[in-house]
Amino acid sequence: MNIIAVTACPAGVAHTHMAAAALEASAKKSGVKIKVEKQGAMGIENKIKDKEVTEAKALILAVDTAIAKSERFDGIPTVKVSVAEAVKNPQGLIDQAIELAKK
Amino acid sequence: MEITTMINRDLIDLDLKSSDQLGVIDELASLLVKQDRLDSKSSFIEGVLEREAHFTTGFGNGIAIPHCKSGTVKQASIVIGKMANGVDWKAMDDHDVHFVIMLAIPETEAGTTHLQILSKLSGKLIDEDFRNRLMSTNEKEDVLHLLNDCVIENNN
Repeated sequence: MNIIAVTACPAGVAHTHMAAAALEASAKKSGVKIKVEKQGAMGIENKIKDKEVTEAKALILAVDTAIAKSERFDGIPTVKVSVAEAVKNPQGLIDQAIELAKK
Repeated sequence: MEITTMINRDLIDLDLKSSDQLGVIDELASLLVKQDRLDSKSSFIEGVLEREAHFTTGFGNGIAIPHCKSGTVKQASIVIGKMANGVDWKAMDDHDVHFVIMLAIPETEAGTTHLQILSKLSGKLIDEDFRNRLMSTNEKEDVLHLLNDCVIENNN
């Protein structure tokens, strides 16, 4: 199962990267494949490719700011939360995304 | 990547005395001022508090990473403090904070290696083993080594 995620926060340094690391760790535990794009102070890092968008079964948006190129994700089942939530409860978000993907 | 321009022994205080959030931030900001890394201590502190007001940087497990990106920062810096007594940080898990990693980021830093270092460090804090080693030591040299190792590690 493939999940994609985008993390972004106002400063684009600390929370964006913590959230990404937390989601990656939880996804690994759950045995799902995740690609986390970070939209931060350095621009877009680890950009989600078109092919990965096509293959994605669910999207996690952990963002506190408007993100770039969100239209790419139209039609993908989405869990949208604050970036803090992804730091605090990454496993819960992965679980929700897995549920969405099953539908 | 080179971390030594961002942190050194004198930007680490493993025995902070303050018992509240503002006090801790103030003590750590003073270390930055001593090394002439800030134009204005007060506007730096204001920026840090603004970030905290938006959302706490106490992400749980006793660590907080207050940070501020501001024109008053002359040089990208990491400053570290440890408190024997926990400090209320309105942390996500409601636990007191014992370890603070404060990041000072110049306004014009966009896209530089310094940002990559800070980002990498932030991501690494999710790693429990890394956190435990960082929080348990009382030696500044250990802190510097741990940070250095985390920066030179390859991206996953």
